[in-house]
Amino acid sequence: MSENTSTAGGFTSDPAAALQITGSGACCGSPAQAVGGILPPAGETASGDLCCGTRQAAQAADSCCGTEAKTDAIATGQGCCS
Amino acid sequence: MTSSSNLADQLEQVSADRMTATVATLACDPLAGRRVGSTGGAAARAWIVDQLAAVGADVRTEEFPVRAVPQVYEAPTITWGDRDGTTELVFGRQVAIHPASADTPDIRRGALGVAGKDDPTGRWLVVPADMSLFDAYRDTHGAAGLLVRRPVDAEGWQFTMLAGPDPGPLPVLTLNSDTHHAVLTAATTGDGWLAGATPLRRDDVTGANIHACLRQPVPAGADLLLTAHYDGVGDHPGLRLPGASDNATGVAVVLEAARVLATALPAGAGLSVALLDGEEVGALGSAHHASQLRAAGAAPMVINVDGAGRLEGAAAVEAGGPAHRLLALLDQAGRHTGIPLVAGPVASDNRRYGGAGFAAVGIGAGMGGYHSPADTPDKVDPATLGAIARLVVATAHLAAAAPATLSSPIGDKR
Repeated sequence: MSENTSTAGGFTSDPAAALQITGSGACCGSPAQAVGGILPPAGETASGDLCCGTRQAAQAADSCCGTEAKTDAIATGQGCCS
Repeated sequence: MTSSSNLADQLEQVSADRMTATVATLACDPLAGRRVGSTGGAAARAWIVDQLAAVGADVRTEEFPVRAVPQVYEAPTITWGDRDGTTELVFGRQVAIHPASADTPDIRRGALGVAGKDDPTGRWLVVPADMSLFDAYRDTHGAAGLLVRRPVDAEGWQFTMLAGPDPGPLPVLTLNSDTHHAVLTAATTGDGWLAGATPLRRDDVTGANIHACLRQPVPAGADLLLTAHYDGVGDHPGLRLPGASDNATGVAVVLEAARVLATALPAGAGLSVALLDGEEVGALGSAHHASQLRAAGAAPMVINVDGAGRLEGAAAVEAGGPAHRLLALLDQAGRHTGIPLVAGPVASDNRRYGGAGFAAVGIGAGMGGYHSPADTPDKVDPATLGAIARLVVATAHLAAAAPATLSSPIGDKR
């Protein structure tokens, strides 16, 4: 098979950057990113006990939201903390 | 090794017309926005099962419980006024019910006040734009409810979210910026009032994923899993939320890729499809599936498509898990098909698979009217559907053909 049949497509920069997306590590923010914010830890069954930020961060902050997640949500004016 | 002409033949088979028809079907009125647990969701599922069976797949469904899915059961009548007159707000545009609202079916009328400043007793408290709902709740004893600002899309619609924090004790309404400004001004001058209800119940329902195996994986071969969520946030009373781009387009792409690959995928690769429920309530369908895969000791490479409505420049790609090899394949497929790719957030089911330790990428190529009535089929670009389907087909083909020979800026490390 021929390779690189088009120079216009593919990643224009390091594809590994796709592994470093801000927000993918369970933090609420914009609606488009909010799914990551309400995920329980991987492998945990659905509980419906949804919160903002990781459950561990919320427990540490003794609140509904992890501190960083809340700051991000306030800064963006959107998301599950707004 | 499969020839480039074989891949060219497969790419030629991709039909944008067929995908456009799929989007129209899934976004049609009777499916009512495909909320998890709804009759519209079940109808969508039945239709998708038929499509997969028609390409020769072994199809089954897998149920899972979903708790407390919010549903507006009546269009709320919200009225406010000041010394200049009375205004009835337009549901969906000027006002909506916040997902963290309490269910208050009866209209509450009260004077307007400013959260954190005025006596809350009996008042609808306007939450300033720089105050979070979390902070607004600090001093709400006896309040009638809370009013928070929410942005609208290009057509003036507020977005709907099903996932979010547990409901609080108060009714909470969201206002568009103009209404929020007017109400806040009236609250500040002390001569405003508001009357409204928040009819929002929470239902415990059953979700159901659709699984289709087109070819069993072979030892040492690639095991490909194509995914997209078919659920939407669902219609509101009097408001259609078709969920065309989000995510009828993703389903259309996966169905089309499966149809093309079913007979032409090079030997040596397994191919499965999972069309997922419950993404809009927190990616619960993929969480359920990922846990099943992990328990079974499976190791698929997951390609998830969420939003293929209109490609603006480049398709966003987010990766999780040991995805270097998969990213290399995707990069190669992008170059082969001429589709630009950029690292960007795709907050969707791919995160569940990546979080469970599988190589997973999410692909997003735009959507109009996020979770609003504006997400209609006419805004879906057929060329984008074709481009993303070709990207998926090419990635799968490359994975099955000879991944070890591919060059990539990041190699094929795992």
